[in-house]
Amino acid sequence: MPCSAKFVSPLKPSDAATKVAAGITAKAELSMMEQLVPEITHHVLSYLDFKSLCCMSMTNVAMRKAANDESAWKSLYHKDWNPEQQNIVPPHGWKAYYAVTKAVAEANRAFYNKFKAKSLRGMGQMWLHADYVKCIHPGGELISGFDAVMENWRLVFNCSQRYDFELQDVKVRVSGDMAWVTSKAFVNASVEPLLSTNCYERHDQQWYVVHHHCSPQLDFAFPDYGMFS
Amino acid sequence: MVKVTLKSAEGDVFEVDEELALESLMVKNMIEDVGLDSAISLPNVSSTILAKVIEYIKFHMDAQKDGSKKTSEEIKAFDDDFVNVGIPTLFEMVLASNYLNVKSLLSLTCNTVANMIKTKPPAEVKEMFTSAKQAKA
Repeated sequence: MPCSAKFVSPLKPSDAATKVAAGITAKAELSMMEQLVPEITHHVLSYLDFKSLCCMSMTNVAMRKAANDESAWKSLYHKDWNPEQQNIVPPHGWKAYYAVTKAVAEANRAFYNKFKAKSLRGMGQMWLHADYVKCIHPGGELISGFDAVMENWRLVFNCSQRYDFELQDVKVRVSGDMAWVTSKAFVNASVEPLLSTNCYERHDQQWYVVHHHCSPQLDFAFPDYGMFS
Repeated sequence: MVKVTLKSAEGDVFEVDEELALESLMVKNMIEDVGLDSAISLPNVSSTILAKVIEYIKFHMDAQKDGSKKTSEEIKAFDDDFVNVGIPTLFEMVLASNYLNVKSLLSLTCNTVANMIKTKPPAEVKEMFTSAKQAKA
C-alpha cells in the first residue's frame, strides 16, 4: 500500500478509545444510514435524483423524514427545472411544487410533440374545451374559443411545412390551478427563435392549454418601440 | 519536512508530513490551536480507516504536484478502486471524512453511497442497509 505514514508503535488503548468502541457497538442497532449525522445524510441525498429520493422516503421513518426534507427538494427543483423562483414559498412544500412543475413541463412537451406530429386529435386533447381559450400564431390574429382554435390548427397542420421544435430556456411557473410556461422555440434548426408563452389550467388533475402565444424574435439590435406609440 | 503525529481511536500512532495533515481542516485547526508538540488525538477514527484516509490524501497530493504524470483516468481509477469496499467500511469512511473535514473525500464517499441508492427500488435499498447492519453487528 503506497502510504507515507510511518507506523510508529501501537500504544495501549486509552479510556476514551474504549468508550468510543462501546459507543460503536451500541450504534450497531441502527442501520448504517441512520448512524450518519443529519448533515451527511443531506450531503448524500443531494446527489440523488427525484426518483431515488422518492424511493428513499419509502424505506423507513427516519429516511422518509430525511428524503422529504424541504431544502433537498428546493435545491433539486432549482437544479432540474430552473434557477429562478429563489424566494417563493410553495404553499404545499417544495416536493409538491417539484411534482406539479414536472406535470406541467410534461404537458408542455406533449403540446410540442403533437405540434410536430401534426396531430389534430392529439392537439384537441391538449386544449381545454372552453369558449375563452385563445391562440395567437406568429404574425397571426387573435383566435378565440375552442372550435375556432382547432379550425386554425387544422390550417396550420395542412401546411406542407415541417414543425421540428427545439425548446430552450423553458421556464415553468405554477400557482394554484394555473401555470404558465415561457420558452424559446427554434423551428427546423432556425437561428432566430420564436418566443412562446403557453398558459395552462388544471381540471380534474389534468393540465389543459388555455392560451398559446408565439411571436418571432426580431433580428433588430434595438426593438422598435414605435409600434406602441 | 515537519512531521505531525496522529493518534487513532485504538491509540496507534501515524507520523505524516505536515503538508499532508493540513489537508484535513479539522487537524489544521487543531495544529493552529495546540501546536505540533504533542500528538493529535483522533478518538473517532479507527487505525484502518485513518490509514485509508492518509493513503487517499497522499495519492491526490502527488497527483496534483507539478510534473505528475497521472492522467485523469488514472485518478478516477484510483478513486473507484478506493471506494470499492464493503458498505460498513464505506460508511466509516464517510463519517471519518466528515469528522476530519476532508471535503473531496467526503464528496467521493457520499457520491458513492448515493450511486448505490440510485435506480434501486425501496425494498432493495432497505435490504442493502439492513444486511450491512447485520454484517457489522
